[in-house]
Amino acid sequence: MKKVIEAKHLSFGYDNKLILENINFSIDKGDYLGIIGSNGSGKSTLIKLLLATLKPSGGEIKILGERIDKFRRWDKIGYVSQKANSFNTSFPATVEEVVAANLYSRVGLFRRPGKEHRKQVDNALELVGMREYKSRLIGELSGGQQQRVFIARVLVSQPEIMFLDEPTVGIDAKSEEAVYCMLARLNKELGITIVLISHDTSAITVHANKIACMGNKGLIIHDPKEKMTEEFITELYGYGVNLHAHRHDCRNCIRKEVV
Amino acid sequence: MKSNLVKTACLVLVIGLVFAVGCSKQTSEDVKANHDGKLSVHTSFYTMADFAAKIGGDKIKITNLVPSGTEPHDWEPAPKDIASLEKADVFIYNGAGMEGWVEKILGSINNEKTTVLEASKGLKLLENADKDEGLQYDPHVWLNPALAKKQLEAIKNTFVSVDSANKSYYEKNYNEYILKFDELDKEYNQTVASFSKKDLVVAHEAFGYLCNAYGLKQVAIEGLGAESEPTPARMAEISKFAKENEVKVIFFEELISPKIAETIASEVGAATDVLNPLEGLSDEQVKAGKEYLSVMRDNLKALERALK
Amino acid sequence: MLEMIQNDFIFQYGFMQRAFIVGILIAVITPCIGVIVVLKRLSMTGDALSHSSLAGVATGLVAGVNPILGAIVFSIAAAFGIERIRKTFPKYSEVAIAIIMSTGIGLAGILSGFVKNSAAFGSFLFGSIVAISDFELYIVIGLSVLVTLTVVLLYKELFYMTFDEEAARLAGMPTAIVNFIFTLLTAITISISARTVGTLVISSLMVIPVASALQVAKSFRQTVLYSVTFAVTSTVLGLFISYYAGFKPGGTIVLIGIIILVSVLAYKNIVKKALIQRTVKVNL
Ligand SMILES: Nc1ncnc2c1ncn2[C@@H]1O[C@H](COP(=O)(O)OP(=O)(O)OP(=O)(O)O)[C@@H](O)[C@H]1O
Ligand SMILES: [Mg+2]
Ligand SMILES: [Zn+2]
Repeated sequence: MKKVIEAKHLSFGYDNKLILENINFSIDKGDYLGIIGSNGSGKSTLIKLLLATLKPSGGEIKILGERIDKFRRWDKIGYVSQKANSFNTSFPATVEEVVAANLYSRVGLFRRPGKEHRKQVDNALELVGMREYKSRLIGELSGGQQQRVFIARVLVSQPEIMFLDEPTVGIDAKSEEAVYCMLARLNKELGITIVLISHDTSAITVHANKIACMGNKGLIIHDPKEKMTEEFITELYGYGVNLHAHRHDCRNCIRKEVV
Repeated sequence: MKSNLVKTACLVLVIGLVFAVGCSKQTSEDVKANHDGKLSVHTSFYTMADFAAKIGGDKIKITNLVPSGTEPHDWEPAPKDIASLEKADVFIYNGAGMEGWVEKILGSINNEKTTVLEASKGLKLLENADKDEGLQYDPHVWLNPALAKKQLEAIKNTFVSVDSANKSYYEKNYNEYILKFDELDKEYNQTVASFSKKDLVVAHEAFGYLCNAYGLKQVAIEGLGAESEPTPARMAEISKFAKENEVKVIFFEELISPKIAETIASEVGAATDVLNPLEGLSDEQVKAGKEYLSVMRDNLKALERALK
Repeated sequence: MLEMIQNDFIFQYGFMQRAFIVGILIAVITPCIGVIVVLKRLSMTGDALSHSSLAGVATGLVAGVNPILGAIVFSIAAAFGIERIRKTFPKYSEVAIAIIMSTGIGLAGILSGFVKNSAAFGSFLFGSIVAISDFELYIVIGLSVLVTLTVVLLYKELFYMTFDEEAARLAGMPTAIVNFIFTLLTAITISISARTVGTLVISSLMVIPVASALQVAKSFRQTVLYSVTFAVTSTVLGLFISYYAGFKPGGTIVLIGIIILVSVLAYKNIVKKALIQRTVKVNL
């Protein structure tokens, strides 16, 4: 299998506080990786490292076979950030303008989006059920609606890898289900590699083919997919969760590999 | 990236320090000069300094507040200027609203030690027609040699009263210069008599006394207080006036931007020339030996070229 | 009234013709840059850069280099300074402006003390829309072509980078280059136009029409178009009124801009009230 993301001896800290220490993992093409871990365990930080928003303090990252500092094909990467609505909500842009902007690599420098581009925008909005809102100002939508637009924005550029940092926060249950279905379909039918951070452990166990647990400055990928136990989640998050799954032995591997 | 920022910050700091050191040096020199037995005379702007020098010669040490080449109407004193004024024996300013900042300083210095002379006091002043400029009178009296003579006299009297030991020296200088001023006045009268035109277009309304003395008429783009942005209506009016009266030259001053004069000149197909209101001379002009009398003669030549 | 206008035809004067040409050109390009600057929360950029270019004029005069060149160089340095500091304080863009503006004012203050001939200084600072030389006219025309072309060609890049710089980079946009071009262009536009039409006109045209546009626009595209429309309207009206009423042109242009802004706000309020009233009536 082709490795689309590879991290070796990756370390990172804000100022002097170490958040990630000597992390090694790889993601294959077509993977659907779910990342779980308690608040502050470094999930968002890891994704920001993979997006080159942050620079690692040690180790190296390869994306699509290239070292991250040399990597230029960012249009192949899609990203929905945690709290996407932290943007300037009074920004005068329509839903259509926001989504169309991400078509950049298809339209090209100096050119304007044409008819078929507008169709792609419509399709992407259709997928997230926001088509009738396309002429509305982005700031005038509800938080969940905005989140859906940001997902459509990533979809429209048909990336090879999609990073989603808690994308369904603030989205109602029905639409949440729709988003997960859509991601699964993109993964299965178009072969898009998906990296999903979520605290929704049950959704992850259902959809992801690999699960990464983060904690104690480390990360462990369970591969092939194993089912998580209630004790494991309790250990990871520090409180009890009801989970319909069977036993798997994670407690030890976290301690073993991290220390 | 961060280190670049630090470097830039250091650079700025160093530059700042160098300037600060440079400035403080200057001040200490000024202070030293006050202690060599000469009468310490402070003046507001160039012409006052020139007049004081003409009377005081080497018996006085002059400190001119408005630096050379600076338009005095909107100059503001720095704390160091006010501090140095404290040490002056005599402070001479023109008055009549020329130096708006003077009142402010006078309140803050020790008047007992410093004799203050308002050189335009007692002269018959022209009313300011354009009241909304905030000036009641036209202050530019020195541009009429006859009134300038009166200012010389007031300066002489002040020096004599403060430093009576050198009375005869001051009086000798005064008597020499009033002859020269009379001569200048005569030249003006003779030359102006040959003019075919009487209207001059000038940058700011500084030449009222000059015009009054010799029967000329000024049309000023700006009011008494030098530079600001003129209204297009005013510019149109002046362009029209210049066209109708076949004005050949639009005068500007070295201390304010020539842009407006140039715009009007190109509008009416006239040339531009300098007419110096003697509010300040540049260092180069002073080095070249320019002073009141020679600049007034340059002005006369410029008027001749424009109006003959 | 008509007779007065006929007798005193505004366009008979070359300086008024140039005022209209330069005024309209500046009113087209300034808000284009202004939209982006305002949305990046850097509204005071105009002031900061023109103050920094003052320091450039002074440096040029002290060092014996062309002062206009000095102004442009300092303005560019200041613009990149703002960009750099903005990255250090991502959520407090106005900090960057404040730092650069005070540096500019401070430096200009110190340096101007070293300028021997303040007349030269004054004449480089002074800009008036009714006193524009042929040289300035050509420079402004050239500048307008440059800015318009850039804004048209890099429209979607500029839009996306303003909305979400991170996402723009991930969309594959050459954000570093576009940012560089835009910053450079902003600096050059402000330093040249401030010397030409005056600091007041330039810094207000960057912000006031954009503020009005933000009240009514329903998209980014409309924001740009409305801003330009409002700016051109206030410039043209301002020039007419200042000519026939005898007001200073710079201030008149700015005040017309403010009147437009107030009218837009009032209009919005009336529409809103009407809407609420209608809804209430229907419900009754
Ligand atoms: N900008 C920052 N500066 C300093 N420390 C930070 C910064 N952002 C995050 N941290 C710290 O880094 C750690 C990891 O943060 P991160 O946002 O990656 O957590 P997370 O796993 O995404 O948590 P959550 O589930 O709440 O989203 C936290 O302890 C946090 O306090
Ligand atoms: Mg997070
Ligand atoms: Zn004057």
